[in-house]
Amino acid sequence: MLKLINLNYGYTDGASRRSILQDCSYTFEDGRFYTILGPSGSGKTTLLSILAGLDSAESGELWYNDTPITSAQLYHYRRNQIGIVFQQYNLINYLTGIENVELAMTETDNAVPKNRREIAYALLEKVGIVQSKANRPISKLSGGEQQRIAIARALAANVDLIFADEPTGNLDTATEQEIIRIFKQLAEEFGKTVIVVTHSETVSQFSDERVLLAEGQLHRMNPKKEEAKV
Amino acid sequence: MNFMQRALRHLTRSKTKSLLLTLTFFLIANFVVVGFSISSAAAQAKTETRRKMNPVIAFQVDFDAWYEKYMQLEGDERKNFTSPKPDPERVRKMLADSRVKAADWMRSTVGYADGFEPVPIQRPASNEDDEDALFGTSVVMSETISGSGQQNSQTPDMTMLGVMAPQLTKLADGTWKLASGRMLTQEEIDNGSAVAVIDKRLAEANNLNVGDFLKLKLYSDDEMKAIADPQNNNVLDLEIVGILESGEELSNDELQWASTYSNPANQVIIPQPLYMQRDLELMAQFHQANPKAQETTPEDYNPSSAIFVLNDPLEVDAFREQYGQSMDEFLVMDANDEMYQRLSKPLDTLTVFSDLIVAVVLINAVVIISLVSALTLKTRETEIGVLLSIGVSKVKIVAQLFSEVLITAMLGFILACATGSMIAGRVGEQALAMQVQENQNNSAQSGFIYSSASSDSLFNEVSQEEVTASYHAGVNAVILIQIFLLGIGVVFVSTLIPSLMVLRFNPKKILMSQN
Repeated sequence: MLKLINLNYGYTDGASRRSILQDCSYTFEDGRFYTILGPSGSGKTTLLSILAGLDSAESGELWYNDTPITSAQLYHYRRNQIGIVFQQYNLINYLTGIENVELAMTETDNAVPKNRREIAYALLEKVGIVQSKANRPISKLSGGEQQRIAIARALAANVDLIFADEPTGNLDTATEQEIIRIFKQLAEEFGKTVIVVTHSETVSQFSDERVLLAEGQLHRMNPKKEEAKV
Repeated sequence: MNFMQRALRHLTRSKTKSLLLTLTFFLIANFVVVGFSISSAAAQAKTETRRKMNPVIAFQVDFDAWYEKYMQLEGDERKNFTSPKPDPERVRKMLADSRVKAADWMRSTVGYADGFEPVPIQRPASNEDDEDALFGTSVVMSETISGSGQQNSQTPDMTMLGVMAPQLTKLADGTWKLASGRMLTQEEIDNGSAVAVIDKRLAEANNLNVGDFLKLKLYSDDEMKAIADPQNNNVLDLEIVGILESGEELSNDELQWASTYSNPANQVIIPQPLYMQRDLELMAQFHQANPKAQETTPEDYNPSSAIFVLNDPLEVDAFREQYGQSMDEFLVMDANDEMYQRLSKPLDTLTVFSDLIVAVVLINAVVIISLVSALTLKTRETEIGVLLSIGVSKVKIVAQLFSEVLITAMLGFILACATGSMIAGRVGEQALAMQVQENQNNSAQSGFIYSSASSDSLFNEVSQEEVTASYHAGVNAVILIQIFLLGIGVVFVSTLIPSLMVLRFNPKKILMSQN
């Protein structure tokens, strides 16, 4: 369970100060697929970076499974608790697909079986990447394939929290559907907590819970009623 | 996949970048190898020069400096400005050093044979026709100059070698050999025992053997009348403990003007303290009778120089460094420095130039590699952001960057060792030849003529050709180690700035800015 308690975050823009999070509290349950929606500039990406341990809130607390995530623990948190999928995929371009996945396995302190390469191939297969493609350089793969590899990399460290920032933003509709299916499967079959920041209605429709970030607060949305509000 | 594996993959899969970086290091390393090789060869040639020189250190007065100072002084200051002598305490420490093979710490004084005949000088008759002499047709008429002995007691006819230490250099190098008996012991010397070692020719001329006694007068009878009561003991009654066989002869030129006492056969080795004690007694009487005369002190009897021969020529500089601290400003420990410096000058010039090249190239290398690394880093921000986002520590990221640069540097350096060695050989030898030529021209212009050390000196002569022949620029194991250590240093310093940039990286800023 990931818990936000009174998180505050903002930045100074010229003479004025802009608040992104204002006493923002929320609880993300295990094994569910969340989508975070919100207007452009509402701070969805900033919120995700705080949840993923890439940045720290100015005040407030972030708890994961009854453990507070302090600044000192961010490396540990990123290495062992979370996986991130970016809109731009952000794979390491001089490594092959399989090596990108293995990289996450090497860095984590979590228990990873010794036959890493086999596990990595299995993970890639699960997200739809066959072995021949897994061994190719990243530059030889399509956007959809790269995003699948990025998802496999996020899973490789045997983590329970998966964050994704506009993961289908650069993909066609068919591939978007496939990625959504993978996220849903991760939550339902493997008990992972998946939190996706998105603009996509398609993606949000398939999530277990839609959350709106507005005026520095997170609001649980009733799909139909809230949709009308937004 | 650890940082080293990542580094290797980055290098092998970004071939153009790696090749360019390796090429940069290769070019830099060539200069460094050339510089190091030349410098090292010069140092080695200097070592060889030192090895070829006799390992002799003369602890003595620098008379040039002393005289210069003397001339600056006036009146009483000048009158009282005496030349310093090696302090006995320091000399004794040096003598006790295991690196010392032999030493001459002695003082020579003339004396008078008492009751025996000195060996006369066989003086050649003067040749009127030099050409005849050249062709060996002249008849050399021998003229015997009789030792004064009892006939003329007013002329000194013996030389007393008052030694302070028994391990004399001529004994060590075989010029002198003990025909019978033994050399004086240090104990006998320190106690001023009445013992002596004489030349075999003197012994044979007077039918003397080990165990016999020999009398030497310090002063003539006339001198004694002036110095002290003639009744006083002016005679050293010496027991002969050893007889030396010496091949030493005076040259024909020396024989023309030599006195009997300068005949090597008439040298008697005695303890210097023995001579000192007896002479001090006489001088005390003289002073009593002439209170205005300057008083004689035991320090006046200290030898004015101490010559050391070491076992190993390469120990000369270290030995001198060890014992040459805080000396009187007019004393020096000369190890044939004039010749060494003359021979070393072209090598030193070469070393200065090569060191300068190395320094300039290294500074440039650090700047270039730092800039290249910093610029490359900008293109790798996303990769670093990803690594940070999956929990790779900044230290490991810096280690990866360092390894990448280090591997290319090592590759460039290995290649450069082969080419640099060839270049160094040619450049070094050509540069040395030029320096030697310039050095010789300067010597000729200044009227300097290579002078060999005087015949009785222990210093030897080494030619510039011998030094040049021992110069071989090339890469050896030491240079390799130096180059690779330096390479690591350059890489370390060069990656320092990029590393600091990495430490300031924020994964959120890198990754979120792309979206």
